[in-house]
Amino acid sequence: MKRKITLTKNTFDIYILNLLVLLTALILVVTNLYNKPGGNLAVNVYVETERVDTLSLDDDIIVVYLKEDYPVFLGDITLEISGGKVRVEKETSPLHYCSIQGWVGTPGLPIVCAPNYFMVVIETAEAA
Amino acid sequence: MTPIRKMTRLAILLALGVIINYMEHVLLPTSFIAPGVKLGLANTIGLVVLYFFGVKEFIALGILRIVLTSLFTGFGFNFFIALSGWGLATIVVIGLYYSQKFSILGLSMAAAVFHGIGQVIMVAILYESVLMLNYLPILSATGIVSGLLIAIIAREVLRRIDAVPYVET
Repeated sequence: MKRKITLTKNTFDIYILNLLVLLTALILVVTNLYNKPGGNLAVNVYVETERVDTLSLDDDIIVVYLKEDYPVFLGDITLEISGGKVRVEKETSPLHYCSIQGWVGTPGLPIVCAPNYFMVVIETAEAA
Repeated sequence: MTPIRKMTRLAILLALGVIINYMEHVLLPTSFIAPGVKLGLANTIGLVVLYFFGVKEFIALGILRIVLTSLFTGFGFNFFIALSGWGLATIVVIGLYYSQKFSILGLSMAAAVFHGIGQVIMVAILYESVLMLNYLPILSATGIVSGLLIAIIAREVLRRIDAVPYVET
């Protein structure tokens, strides 16, 4: 039976690889040039898709979000902001992805605790 | 191939896809690199289905895999993120498939990159934040690598299945 896709590499695969690398580079350039945060930065805290808190990135603070306030959590979540960066210091989850991720100082790069429906991201304070 | 045999094979492949997805999540965690970054081993099943059965079955199996996986993880925003990533990747894959110019390597790399793009766009919509789009280059770059790895795995699987003389495909 003739297949519509082949298993061996051909010239068009090289074309599409080059195209995808170019696309990635283009996205990188465009996001760096035009998608910069304006004004003061803040840490937005989301539970499910609802923003529940906005914290200043300039303050060095530790905030604990309690399971009793957010029943979707698997346990309490400790958030730490220090030196213009944020991290999830402690959480309850099977694989601890979000606390392993460590400190994040880049706007738009989220820290996601999927089992807790919890997400933290640095955004412009105006967006908050 | 008889309809019952076809249905049975697709059901087995669907079950494999769900199991591989779950096992990768537990045994091969890569999301610590950055959220959403994963190898996507279950996509090898999608490529196997596209190769042996065609577009209709590829779409049906993809939707069913997302719905079944969401039965374990919930139908929250993760479901919509998965659906959007899959949707964009599927549109691109079908276009490339009908062009009949690309091998499984090209298809898989394009699918992985556009899967990431679809996911990030949905995240930006859900969280109403354009800044989330800054995450696109990370997922695009990792998508090229993971797409290539998945294609190589799928290719080896397909070569071995094709080499078995008594497998009716």
